Amino acid sequence: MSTTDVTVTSEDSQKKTANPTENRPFVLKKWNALAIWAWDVECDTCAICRVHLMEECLRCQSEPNADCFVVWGDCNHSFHHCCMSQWIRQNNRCPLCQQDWVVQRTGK
Amino acid sequence: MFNLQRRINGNDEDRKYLETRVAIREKLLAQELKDLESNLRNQRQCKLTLPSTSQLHEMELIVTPQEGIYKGGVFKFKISVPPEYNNVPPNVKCMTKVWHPNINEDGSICLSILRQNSLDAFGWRPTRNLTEVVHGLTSLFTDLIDFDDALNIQAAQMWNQNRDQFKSRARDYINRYC
Repeated sequence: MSTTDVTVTSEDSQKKTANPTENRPFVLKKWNALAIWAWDVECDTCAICRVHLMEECLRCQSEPNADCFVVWGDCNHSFHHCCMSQWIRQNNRCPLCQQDWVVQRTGK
Repeated sequence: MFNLQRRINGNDEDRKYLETRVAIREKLLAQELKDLESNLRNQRQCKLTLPSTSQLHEMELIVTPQEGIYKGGVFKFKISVPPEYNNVPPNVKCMTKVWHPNINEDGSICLSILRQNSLDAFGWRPTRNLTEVVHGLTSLFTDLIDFDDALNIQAAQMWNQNRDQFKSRARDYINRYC
C-alpha cells in the first residue's frame, strides 16, 4: 500500500544506448521509479492505544466495530474516536497538549 | 438492575467489558515491557522484576539510590496495573518502610503522574507509560523529593526544623528496614 513500483521500458532508448562507449562506460538499461507517500498529519499513531490511525484501535481489533474512525481536535491532534471517547469521560482535555478537547472534524 | 437481569440470562456485560479491558492492557503491557527492559539496561538505580510471567500486570521494582540522602537504601515497590490501563495509572505501593516526605509509613506514594484525576498537566494521562512511572519513582529519592507538598507531614516538618535530624532518621530507617 505504501510503495508503488513503476517499470519503464522503452525499446528506442535501449537500442540507442545498448553498448557502452569509451566516454560513457556505463549504460542505463532499465530504471524503476519508486514513490512513497505519507499522510499529511501531525500524528499518525493514536497516542492512547498506540496503534496506527489507519488501523482499527486496540479495542476494535479484538471486538470488530464498524465505527472505528479518526477524530481531530481543535489542537490538530488526532486519535481513534473509540479511544478518545473513553478518555474524555474522565478528563475533557487532549492527552497530548492539555488543551480543552473540542472536536474539529472526524474522518477515516 | 438491568444488567443483573441480563446476567441471570447468561449475558454478563460487566465480565465482557472486563475481558476486553484486560486484553487491551495485556497488549499495551507487552509493548511497554519490551521498551522498559531496554531502557533499564545498563543502569544501577533500579531493577524491575515480574514475579509471574502469566501476570504481566504485577511487577516489583527495587530502587537503589546511588546518591543523596537515601544512598545505600534498597526500596521495594509493588506496581500493579489495573484493567482500565491506560486510562488510569498503575497502582504503586512502597513495601519498604521509609522516612520520606512523599511516601507515608503505610507505603502510599505522592507522585504527580500517579494521580488519576488531576487538573494540571502533571497527572496521569494515556500518553504516559511505565517507563515514566519507573523514572518518577527512582527520582523520588533524588530530584523529585518534594518537602513542600508532603504526604508524611511530620517528615517534612522535621526537614524544615532540623535537617540533620531528618537525615539521621532517614539513615536509621534504611539501617533498620532495608
